Amino acid sequence: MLKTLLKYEWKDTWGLCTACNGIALILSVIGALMISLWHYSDDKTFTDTQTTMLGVAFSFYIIIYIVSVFAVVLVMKYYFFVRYYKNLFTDQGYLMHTLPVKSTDLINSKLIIAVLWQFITGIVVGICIVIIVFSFADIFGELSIMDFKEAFHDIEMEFDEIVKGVPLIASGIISGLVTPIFEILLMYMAVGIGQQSKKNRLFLSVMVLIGLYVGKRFISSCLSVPLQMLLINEDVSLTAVNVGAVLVVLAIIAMTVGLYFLNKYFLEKKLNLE
Amino acid sequence: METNNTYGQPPVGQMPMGQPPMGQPMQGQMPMGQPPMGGMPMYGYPPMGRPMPQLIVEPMPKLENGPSLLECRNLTKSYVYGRNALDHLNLTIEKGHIVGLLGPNGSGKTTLIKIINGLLVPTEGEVLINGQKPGAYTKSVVSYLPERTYLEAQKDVKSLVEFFADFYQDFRKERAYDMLQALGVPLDARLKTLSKGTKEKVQLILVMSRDAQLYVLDEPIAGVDPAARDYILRTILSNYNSEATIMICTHLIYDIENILDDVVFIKNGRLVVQSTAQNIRNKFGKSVDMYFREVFAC
Repeated sequence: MLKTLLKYEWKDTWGLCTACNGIALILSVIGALMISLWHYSDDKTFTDTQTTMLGVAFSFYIIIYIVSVFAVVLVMKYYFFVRYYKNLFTDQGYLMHTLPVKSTDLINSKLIIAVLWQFITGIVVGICIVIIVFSFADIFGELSIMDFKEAFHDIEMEFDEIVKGVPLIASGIISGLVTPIFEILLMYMAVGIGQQSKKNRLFLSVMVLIGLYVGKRFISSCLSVPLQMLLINEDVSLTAVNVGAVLVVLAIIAMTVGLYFLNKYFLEKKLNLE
Repeated sequence: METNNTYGQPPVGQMPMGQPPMGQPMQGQMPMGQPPMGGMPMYGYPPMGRPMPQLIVEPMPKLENGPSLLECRNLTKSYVYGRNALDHLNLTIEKGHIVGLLGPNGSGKTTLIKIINGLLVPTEGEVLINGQKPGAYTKSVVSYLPERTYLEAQKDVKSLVEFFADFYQDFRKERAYDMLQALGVPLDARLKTLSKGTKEKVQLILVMSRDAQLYVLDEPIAGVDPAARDYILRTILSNYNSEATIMICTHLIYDIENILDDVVFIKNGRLVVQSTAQNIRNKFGKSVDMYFREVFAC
């Protein structure tokens, strides 16, 4: 049944998520075109007034662009938060919770699709940044693909000097993969807590989510600051840095697993569709 | 269609809908204020402060060995902010009956139905369906019609049929399409474009197109016109598997009492009456509707 749930979850989320990502991409392309126009204005194609107007429009656009890309990321997060709430804890929950599926299937289907869209959005935002950065490279003539390659090579060389071990890099990759799952589960947890209330459940869920985010920030600071101290301290051995990184990732994984089971507990033992 | 009627009650369908049981006056024939059996007036009877009615529990006979279709053991649901919605309720329902789950507002009917369907978790006690606690298996044999619109308003009727067909193995797609066609519901119409009555009919069609073992219908005829009520009752009677049990929760007892084999009265979360509809008529000399008014008089 998980496959069927995934099919419907994908079908239901496809429209809005594609639209959001599509808008971000279109805005990037428009931005790149505007940057090119601005570039041409330097070649005296336009009058001074036109160049000034273009400059103002360009600056305005860049602000809108940055806000829009952030908005896309936020809308996507909020959408999956509200969708989980609406789909499982409002009238629609009467259907979803009477389907012959396990509660874990309900969580898994929503989690997998939400995480998948988070990754897709991450990639799209990355593409948007690359488009804009390369448009600027055209103007300033200082950036090219070769420059990027060299920059990455330099980082790589320096990185090799600091750490020659795989664990730190692997920890970084794993935490990059696990963190979106953790964040989605944190949202689900907020909904689970919020629906215990008799009224204003969505508002309470949002408040709980804000509280959980503050808690998350505090814990992640507690975990990452010592690791950064280790990284900049030349006296500390590579092994210690690696061990620190692995411990941080293990803590993230443990918290993610804990959140998963807490969400399962809320669906199975604390379901409250009054 | 005949039901597994074990109490000598006329088979469902032989008693015309809208007619009172034999020997009973039509509703409205007895003037308000007249005593049902002579003596006290019908409305306002029994007098204020009357204790809970005597518990009448006549267990349903079992048709086969094995676990009962539905068993509630010591079922209690307390809310943190209020009283007990269910209070140590014990109830057993067997296969092949049409049961009316009746009680005044706030008596715990909907809470009981939600617990049966796994939408609420009991505070104490347990509910078993074919011997199993609510879960994926029980949801595959229970077909539930909530008292609200629970389908996504944005979806069209056809995609809702496909949704049910994908999830419920006992769903009969052809049956659903036949009923929708008979009603003239356009398959490509989004649910939000349909009238309230049509939405309720679509929901009922989806629920009754399953070959479930237990149908739980919460207020299936509330909020629709009398013609639609007849359609809904006909749909219920003509589409359920005769070995299955239908549990109907409603306030409109008069409209459904002719199709009921059994009645269950709940008051303050407790079982007050469980009996056959016929026994109520024979024993108290009044219709279930009238008996209900007597038991739950304010």
